[in-house]
Amino acid sequence: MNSPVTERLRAVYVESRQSLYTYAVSITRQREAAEDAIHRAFQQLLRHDTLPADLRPYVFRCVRNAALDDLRRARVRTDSIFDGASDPAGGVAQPHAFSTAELNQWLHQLSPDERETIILKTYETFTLQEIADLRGVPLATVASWHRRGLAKLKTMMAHEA
Amino acid sequence: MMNDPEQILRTIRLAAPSAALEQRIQSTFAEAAQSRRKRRPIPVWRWVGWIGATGIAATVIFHATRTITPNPPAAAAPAAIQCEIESRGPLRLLLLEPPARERMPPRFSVSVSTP
Repeated sequence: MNSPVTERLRAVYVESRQSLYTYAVSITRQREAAEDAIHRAFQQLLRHDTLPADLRPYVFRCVRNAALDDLRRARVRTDSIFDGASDPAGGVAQPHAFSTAELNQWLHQLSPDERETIILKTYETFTLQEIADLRGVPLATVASWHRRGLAKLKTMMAHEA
Repeated sequence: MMNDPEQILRTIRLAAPSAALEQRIQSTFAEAAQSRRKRRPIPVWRWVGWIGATGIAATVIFHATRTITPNPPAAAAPAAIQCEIESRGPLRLLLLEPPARERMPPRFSVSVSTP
C-alpha cells in the first residue's frame, strides 16, 4: 500500500502536470530545463513525511523554486509555452489574428512577475489571492502585476492589429 | 474578433510535457513508494521498550555511582583561636603598679570565634 504522501503528490501531478509544465516553461524558457525542474521538485517533495493541507499551491511553489534555480545557469532560452510557436496559429482557424510566435514574444516582453501572474491566472485557474499566497506577496501587488501585464498585452495587440 | 488577452491566450494550444518526463516521474514515484515500504514506522512497543531500558540503565548507573564514590569526611570543627594581648603605654604602667595587695599584672584575654 502506498503512503498518503505519495498518493497525494501523485494526484496533484496527474491533475496539474500540464499546468506545472506550462508554468515551468514560462519561467525557464527552456522545455528540457522545465522538465528537469518538475522532476527535481517531485523528488524533493517525495522525501517529505508530511505535506501541507493545501498541497497544489505548495507543489507549484516547489516547481517555481526549482525552475528559478535552473534559470540562474546560463543557457540560451527561446522555448515557448505554446505548441508550435513558429506556426501562425498552428494552422487552425483562430478567433484572432495573432500567431503563437507573436503571442510568445509579447508574453516575454512582460516582466517576469507580470508573465507569471498572467500564466497562473489564465491557464492554472488560480485566483489572485492564491497567486499572492503562492508567491508570498500582498494581494494588491499581484493584482497590480496582473492589471499591468494585461494592459501591456492589449497595447501590443492593438499595435499589431 | 476577440480582444481580451486572457481569452486569446486560452485559444492557443499549449506545449505538452514529453513522454520522457512522464517516465521519469513515474519511476520517481515507484522508487519513493519502495523506499517508504522499507522504512516502516517503528511500532509503539519498541519505543516503550527503549524508553524503559534507558530508564533502568540510568537508575543502575546512578546507584552504582553513589556506592562507588566515598562520602567526604566530615569537616573538623574549627578550633577556637585565643589571643592574649599585653597592654602597653600608660595603661601598662597603671597595670604594672596596682595596689600593693595586687602586685600581679592583670592579663587581657580576647576570644574570637572563627567563622
